[in-house]
Order: sequence, then C-alpha cells, then structure tokens
Amino acid sequence: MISDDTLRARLAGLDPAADLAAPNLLDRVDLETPDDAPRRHWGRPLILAAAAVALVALFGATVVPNLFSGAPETIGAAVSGDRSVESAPTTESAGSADQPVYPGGPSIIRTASLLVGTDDPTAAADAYVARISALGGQVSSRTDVTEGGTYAPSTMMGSDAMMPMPYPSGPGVWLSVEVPADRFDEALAAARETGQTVRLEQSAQDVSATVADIDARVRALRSSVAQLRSLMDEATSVSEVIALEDAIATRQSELDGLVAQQRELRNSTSMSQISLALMSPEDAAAAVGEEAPDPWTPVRWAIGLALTAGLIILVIVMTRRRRDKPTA
Amino acid sequence: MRDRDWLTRLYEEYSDDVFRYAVRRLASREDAEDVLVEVYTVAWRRRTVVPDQALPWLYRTAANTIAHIIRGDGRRGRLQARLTAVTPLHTEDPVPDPDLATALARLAPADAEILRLWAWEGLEPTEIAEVLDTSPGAARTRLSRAKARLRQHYESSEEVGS
Repeated sequence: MISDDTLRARLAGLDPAADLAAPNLLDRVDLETPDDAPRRHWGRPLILAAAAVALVALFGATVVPNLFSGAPETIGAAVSGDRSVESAPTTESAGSADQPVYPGGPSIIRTASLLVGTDDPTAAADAYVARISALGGQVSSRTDVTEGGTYAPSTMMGSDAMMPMPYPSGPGVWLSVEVPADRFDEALAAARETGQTVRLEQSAQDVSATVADIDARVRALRSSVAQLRSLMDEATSVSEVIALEDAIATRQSELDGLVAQQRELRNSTSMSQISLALMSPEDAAAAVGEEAPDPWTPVRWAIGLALTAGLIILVIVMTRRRRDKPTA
Repeated sequence: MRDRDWLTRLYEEYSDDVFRYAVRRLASREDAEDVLVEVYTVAWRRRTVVPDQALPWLYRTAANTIAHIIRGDGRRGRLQARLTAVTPLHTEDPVPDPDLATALARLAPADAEILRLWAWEGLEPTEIAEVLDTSPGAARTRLSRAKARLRQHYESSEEVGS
C-alpha cells in the first residue's frame, strides 16, 4: 500500500509542465472591454417576458375572437343554404348557359358540394341521378350507407378542383356526379331541391389565362413546325437536314405536350362536378352541429399559451442565473 | 483597489500556475497562451468579484475557457482535435513512471482530473472544491475514491510487472 504522499509525489513526477514559466502576455490582455461584474441580467428576461405578454395579447386580440365569431358564422350560413351561396365564390354570369365556356369566353372550372337533409335519402338520390342523366351528366361514384353503418370519404372528386368537404359520417347516400358545364346551375338547383340544404360549398376556378396562354403557344408552335417543314424542302446538305429534323422533333414534342394539356383543360371546364351527401334531417343537422366550436376552446388556448410562455421565461431566468455563477 | 497594479500583481503571482494548468490540459503551448490571456481578460472584466484567494477562481475560469474551446462554440473549435488529457508536451523524454501513467489514463476523466488538481496543481480538497464548484466534503470524498481507484490499477500493474 503506497502512502498518500508517495502517490502524490509520483503523480507529480508525471507532470508535463512542472517547471514551465508563463510568458509575459499582460499586454495582450484586453482592458478596454466594459466590465460585466455582478450585475443582475434582468434586461433580457424582462424583454422576453414583455414579448411573451405581447404575444399572448396579440393571440387574444386576433385568434380568440375568430374562434368565437368565425365558426358560428359558417354554421349560420350553412343552415340557411341561400346565404352560403352568396358567400361562396360564384361566377354566375360567367358560367351561365348562354355563354360558350370554351373557346372564346372565360374558362371556369366549377365545383359544388352539398349536404342535404331528407327523409328518404335513397329515393332522393335515385331521383337526382335521373335528373342528372336528363341533363346529360353522369354519376362518377355513389355510396349507400344503411342504418348503423358509417362512411367518411376522405376526398370528394378525382380532379384538381377537388373541394375538401367535412363529410359527416352516418347512414345516407354520397353521390359524385359530372354534368356539362352549361348545365351546372340546373344540376345544382336540382341538388338543392332534394331536401333541406344544410351545407353548400361552391368554387369557381378561372383558368381563362391558362387556356389563352396554351392556345397561343400551340398556335405559335404549329406555325413554327410548318415553317421548318417548308425549309426542309430547300435543304441542300445532309447536315442541314439533320439540324432541321432536330429542331422539328423538339418543337413537335413540346407541341404534343401542350395539346394534351389543352385537352385536359377543355374537359375540366366542359364538365362540372357536384358532390351530394344525402342524410336524414337529424343526422345532417348533427353533422354540422359537430363543428360548433366549444366555447372554452379559446380560453384553453390562452391558458396553455400563457403557461408555455411562463415556462420559457422560467427556464431562461434559471439558465442565466446558473451561467452567471461559475464564471463570476 | 482593483486597478491595473492589482492586475499586474495578480499576473506576477499566478500566471505561471495558470499557464501550467492550461499546458497540462492542452497539447499546444500557443493554445495555453491564448487561455492565459483569456483568463486574465475575464479577471479584469470581473475584477469586482474575483476573490482575494484568487488561484482557485483563476483555475475555474481557465477550466471554463478550455471547456468553451472544446465544446467548439468558441472561436477556436479546432483545438478539440489537439486536446489531450495526459499526453505530456515533451514526448522525447521517457515517461518516469509508465505504470502510473497507464493507471491514470485508465481512470474515468473526472477521477483523473481531481488527481491532477491534487498532485499537479498541488491543491488541497477545499481548493479543489472551489475549482470544481462543489462542496469541500464532496471534493474530499471524490478525491479519496479517485486515489483508491488509482492505487487499484497501479498496484495490480506493479504486481504483474515485478
């Protein structure tokens, strides 16, 4: 057993710096930096606390009233179907039947989704399908859910103009139909005649600019390709022919892509989509009622936010205190 | 009076100790010089709180500076690669007691550090407590445990060697 003193002496023998003397570096010591001696650094926590309070206040001023007033407005509009039609982005004049949708006039992609309460959803759905067929439209999907079953489709339609609809779940019939664009208003009116409209959403996407742009580019490319073809007749050397073929091929493939887009747009502007959910009046009302805001939600938000802000301030103050200690 | 004369006296009195402390924990003499300058800069900035028995405080500040560098959030994160705990500067000299050096190297970093403060800086447990920012009792306990572990490694290697 080695004694403490021996151990200490032997360890000291390992010291790599036993006899080193420090160089005089006093002139490198920065004497100009302001002192930061034992001042309590309340400045930053105070600023942060003020920022947090401001944040909470801002939250209270903007989000909370919206939670209170915004949502009930939707409910009110939805229950009386007429008002929601006004608030929906409709373009009644643009898409009406006496105007050609394409080409020439504005190109609009219109969609609508409805939640309708009716005593006999199945019979109402059958009648509506018959109406749609008479208008030249077709059913793209239909789902019948009987008593006790639930159904909550995540998406409505398979197009870009797909409109998210908070689909209720429960017994009823879900229909997705396509109608010619110029019969859209009739089809929508027919949908609202199936019962008491609880909720109605419409959208109209104006793609006129896109359509016009594609049309212009298609025309330009066509004439360009024609010109190149005529040059081909005058080509005198093999290298000229190859260069021209190259140019024609590039433009031709671009043209093909544009023509495909043009066709796609023409389809979606010529056919409008309507989604119709038919439920019993009680279920439909309940489905909308589910969205009624819990009046305590904003209060809970505010409390949670205030707690979080307080916690952050606490952590900052604690870490600052701890950091002050060892270096001080 | 904590004026420039005070700083000069502080430098004359302790700069060798602080410099050695830094050299022992950094493999490079230039880096140790940087640490020395930084420690005295901090001492000047915080001169109103530097205790009269300044050496443990200076060691602690040096430890913070070195840790700051190692953590890489200092301007000289490159030091990390060059930092060694026990590698002596003068590697050309034969290590006087290789068994003990091995035993020290095998200890946990905290144990090795407390032994270095004890044997190299020549500090007593109360001063070690100040450097490590802990209570004297805790420092005493940790020191005796570190010694016991070192003895264990050292004596077992001596038995094998002899």
